[in-house]
Amino acid sequence: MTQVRDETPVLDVAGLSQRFAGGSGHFWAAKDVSFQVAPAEAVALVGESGSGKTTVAQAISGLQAPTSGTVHLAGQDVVRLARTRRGRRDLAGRLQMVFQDPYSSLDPTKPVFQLVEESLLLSGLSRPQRHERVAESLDIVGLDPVQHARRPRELSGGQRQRVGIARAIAPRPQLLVLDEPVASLDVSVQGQILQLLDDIRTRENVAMLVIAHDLGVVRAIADRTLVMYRGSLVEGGATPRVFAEPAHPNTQGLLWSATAHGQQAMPTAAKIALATDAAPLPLADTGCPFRARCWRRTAECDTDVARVETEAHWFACNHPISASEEVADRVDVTA
Amino acid sequence: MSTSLLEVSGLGVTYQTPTGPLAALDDVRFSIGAGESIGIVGESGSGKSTLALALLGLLPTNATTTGAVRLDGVNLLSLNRKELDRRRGKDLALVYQDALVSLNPVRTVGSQIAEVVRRHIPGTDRRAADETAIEALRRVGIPDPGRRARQYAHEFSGGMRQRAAIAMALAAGPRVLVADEVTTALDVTVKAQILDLLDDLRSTEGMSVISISHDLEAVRRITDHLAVMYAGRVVELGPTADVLSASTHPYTAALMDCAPTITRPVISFISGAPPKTAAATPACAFAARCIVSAGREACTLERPVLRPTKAHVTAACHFPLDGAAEPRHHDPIPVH
Amino acid sequence: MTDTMPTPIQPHPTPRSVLRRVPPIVTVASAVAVVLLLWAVLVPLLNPADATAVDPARRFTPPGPDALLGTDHLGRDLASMIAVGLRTSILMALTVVAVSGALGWLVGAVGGYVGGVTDNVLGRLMDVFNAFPGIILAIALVTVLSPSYSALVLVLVLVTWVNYGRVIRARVLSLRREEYITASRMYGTSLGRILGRHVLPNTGDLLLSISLVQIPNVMLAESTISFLGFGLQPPQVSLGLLISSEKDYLQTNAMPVLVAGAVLVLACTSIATIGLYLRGKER
Repeated sequence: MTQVRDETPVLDVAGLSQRFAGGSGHFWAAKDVSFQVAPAEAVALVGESGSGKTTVAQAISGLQAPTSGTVHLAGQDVVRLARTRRGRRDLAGRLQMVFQDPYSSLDPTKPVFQLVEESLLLSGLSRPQRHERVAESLDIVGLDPVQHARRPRELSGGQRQRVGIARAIAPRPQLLVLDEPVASLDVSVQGQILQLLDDIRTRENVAMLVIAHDLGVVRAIADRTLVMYRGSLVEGGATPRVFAEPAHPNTQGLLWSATAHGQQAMPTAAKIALATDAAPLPLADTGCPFRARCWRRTAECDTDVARVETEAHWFACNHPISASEEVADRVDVTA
Repeated sequence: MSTSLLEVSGLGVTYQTPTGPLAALDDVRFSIGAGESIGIVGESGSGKSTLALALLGLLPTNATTTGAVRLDGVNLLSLNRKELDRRRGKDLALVYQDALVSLNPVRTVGSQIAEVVRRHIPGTDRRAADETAIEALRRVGIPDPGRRARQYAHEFSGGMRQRAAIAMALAAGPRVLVADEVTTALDVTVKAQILDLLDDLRSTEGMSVISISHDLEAVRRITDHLAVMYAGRVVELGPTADVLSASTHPYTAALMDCAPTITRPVISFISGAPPKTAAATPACAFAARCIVSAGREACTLERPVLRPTKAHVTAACHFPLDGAAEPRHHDPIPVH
Repeated sequence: MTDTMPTPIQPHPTPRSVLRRVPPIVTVASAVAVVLLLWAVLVPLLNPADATAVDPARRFTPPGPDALLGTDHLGRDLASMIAVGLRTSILMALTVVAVSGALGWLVGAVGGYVGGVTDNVLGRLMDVFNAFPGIILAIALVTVLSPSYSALVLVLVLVTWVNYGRVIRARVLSLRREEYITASRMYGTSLGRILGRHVLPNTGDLLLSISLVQIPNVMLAESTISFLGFGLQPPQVSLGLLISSEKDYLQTNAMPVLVAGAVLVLACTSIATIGLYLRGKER
């Protein structure tokens, strides 16, 4: 999963920062976020609500220009492209989004075929070419022609999400940004969509950036995982590695919380520390963003945070959990 | 059965809609003793939300009910609105998924809880009610409850808001707490804390808890009994550990496999989608999606009823799985 | 489809089931509206061309085979006069509603969708129009413009469009947060296209229900203004004018005033009932 490293990345995010004005001053919604996505690679961005995942996704898809930093999609500057309508069309051919809510992401007044065709309307394709590609996309996502004339409310949640995916893959983008693609679907149906996404990745050779809070979903479909907290990336690396040997206490906390077993195994010190609330990160703060909820913090965490990089794994923490350390429940995760 | 505090028997709910009657629940039965907890799990259309409303007597006016919901032998379905209002909050309380809905944005959190106290414990003066409210906030683990009681809901974070909603439900000392998807909207770390809280409250207050959720992991943690619902009926019922460790209903077994977890990152699913309503046909509602059924005639001709499938467990299936108590997923097949 | 289909798709309501749930008052209102419409369309066809011509010899003819509802003080056939008056009323109401609906929709949709300064300016504009009491503003304006058919249409549009603008703006404010609009924006779709492709179809129900409430308002306003002499002028025919010219003979021959008044009231209430029913159903 790392042999693609030397190719030009599909997505290159460098020093992306976004400020926002809150009730009591200015804060970081995203702070110095940098990462890359290789062709046909699936990268997951995980974190709690308010961690900045959505801010990053909006900047990448050109919906909101960042305060500073750059986003390049196959070598093209997204921020600049997004400024003009022509640039946006160009962008739409390279990047598509799949939204969380299959109810609000489809215009209720349009039939399935038209919904999918919309992403191709400005692509420069002729009408017959468009129709051919729409039919093809619908076939890929497993919606048979009987469904083409139906409107969203006549479809089940899973079928709606299939329409959303067909619409996104129709222009043959290089990158799909998936915002919680299965979070609002029934458990017995989630797997159908995850399987479909996995198939599409190989079949259409498309890279994916998956935003998700469900670690089980992330573990199942992502090659690499990036963990975000209060606007900063705190850990990243190959998914099996991050899940088996999390170094950042935030990541470990998320993993503990994800299973009934982990919750029972969680040390009391961690439980107490994690029970406090996360506030947005003030602009002037230079310390570790996680320190207020960390059970391993020391005085130096207030001012500095060390970044450690090894092959296929990096993290920003002064007191990382080392692989040899005796940590409750860790054995269970690797089993 | 004689020891049960709340007993649901043959509960059926039908909504009258413009397009005809729509069955949401059919012959639902389970019971729960004092201080016990039961989880009700199911997907959309399984009827679990209707069940929550039915237990609290909050069904919309176009719903007709059959069967009985007995609390201490009194059938709640036969009470009039006034009697029901008196019992709701005092005997039975509900916590919703969205705490913002249950808290009034323009009144302080403390005053809302105090109001519940005064309504259900007549003769409480204002000051005593305020103190009870602060005490309720303390019990749900809200730090500095005296100050927090004077704040408004929007000043609370998501997790604290859910705690406050639980405090309000607890204020009048209910014997049964119905928790409807209370952790669904929460982050994973906060979710773990709320689950802890519910579990603590049950043991310290001796309260019975009915947890309604689609989240098997969450329910597994905090319940000793489990009812799995599909298409408006209970399809498997028994002690949580027995039901989940070796399910005897093919639906429960398949559902267990569906959710990818961090320890078992396998993508699997049940083909098709869950039906939106209780099926009106004399067939097993799960037959079309069932691997075990695979077109067997019995599944399409006769609706299976709950019957014992292994010790302590009942399931509604013509061809139940053997449910041998061997651990499942001992051999995970990772995707990567 | 077999019985064991995993996703039973909810059947569309059949016309019969729609009829069954309509409250009786709405059914009656619809029947009244249809009868009046038929009156407006058919009666002039059945009668000779000059039925509304002045004929002093026939003044105050009682109802009979010659004139179904009798004649007025100028000897004009009352049934035909009312039919023509209804036509005038309905046509004017439709014109006003079409123009003000288009104007109000455009202002509301653009303001709500674009937001920011544009929305502020357009919002203020709507506040200003909303602040004036409609009918008084209309009378003031129409006297300035000198009374005529087109002046009356213009004036009624000016007092009606805000009703569309405000409601449409509120809907669009929530629509623009829908993810399909975000998706469309991402494709580089132009403002006009988004408004036409997504916003218009998703506000169609509102346009219909507001119009059904505005049509009787406009009919009433037109009649009132014409009755007061600031609107349509003879020889144009309007229910308001008819009542105005016949009111002097109320004590000797009340028929024209009573019938014209009743028709006006029935037309307005029946359409308003249907409109309010549809609006209530959206909630």
